[in-house]
Amino acid sequence: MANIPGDFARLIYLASTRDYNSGGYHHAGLTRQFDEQVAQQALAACHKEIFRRLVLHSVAELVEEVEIYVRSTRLPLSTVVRAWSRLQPYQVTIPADCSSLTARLFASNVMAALAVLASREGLVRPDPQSASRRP
Amino acid sequence: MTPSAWLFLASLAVAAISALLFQRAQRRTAAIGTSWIACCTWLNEEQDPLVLELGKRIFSVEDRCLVASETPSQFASGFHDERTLLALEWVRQVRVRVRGVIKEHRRAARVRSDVRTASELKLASEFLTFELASGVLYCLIVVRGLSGAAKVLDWYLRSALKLRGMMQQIAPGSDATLMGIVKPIRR
Repeated sequence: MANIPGDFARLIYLASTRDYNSGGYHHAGLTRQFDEQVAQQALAACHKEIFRRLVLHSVAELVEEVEIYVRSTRLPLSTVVRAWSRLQPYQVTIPADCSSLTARLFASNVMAALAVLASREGLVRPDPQSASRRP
Repeated sequence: MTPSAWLFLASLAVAAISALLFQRAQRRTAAIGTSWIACCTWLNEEQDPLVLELGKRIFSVEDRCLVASETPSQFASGFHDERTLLALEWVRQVRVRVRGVIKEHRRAARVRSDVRTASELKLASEFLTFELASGVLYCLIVVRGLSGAAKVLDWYLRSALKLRGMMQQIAPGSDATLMGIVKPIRR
């Protein structure tokens, strides 16, 4: 995990080790070294912990995390941001036992981070009101 | 039948009834014991580690400012509305959970002998404060939005934390392990 840059990239990786039919985690290397059940528990705990950290991040911190992840894919930022905004693959990165409120907050924050990145990349038309707007 | 045979049968019946009642009482006590422990673990890691911490994130001014200044107005407005809905849902969820815990506690307290009236009164008063804070926060979010409700959020969180602390003191399961599980909110 230490070789994976950033928590967001780690979350994507851990979610990818999950079987969507059974909800169980599979990692050949870990299963060889430890018991299957132990490996599953370790991956599930790790997934939960990283998700917990990310959901408590501010949108600004999440923008950085998403940027680090996009850079690690070596694809143009615009391509990834467009695909992620359309396909919303971050929905499948949410741990199974997460509450609906937490899942909604996470999805909303990732969407906001993508929107900020899209604006910075000039993928959306600049809004003259934006700079002066405050909540 | 002789009187001694009647006496023997009556003793057997009384013993059987006593055994049944004892068994039932034991099952009930075990169930109450479990719910009592559940009372003080209402915010533990297993159930939902984030329930109180989420509040701070949902109400974050920093997030709303960033989105308002760096994204198109339509998106920012949608984000603001979503955060408002999340805040209302969060208040509702915390309230439902606290009410559930208090209900369990009342049920358990009825059959326990070590319950102290003074601590129960304190708990009831703190619960009323929490209910008041909860109602005020909910109304302010609806009427004045997230910014208008931010000041009450602190009061609400303090009340929830105080209630949690009291539950831990009252509940017999509030040992060192439990105290470690129920983490305080980072401020």
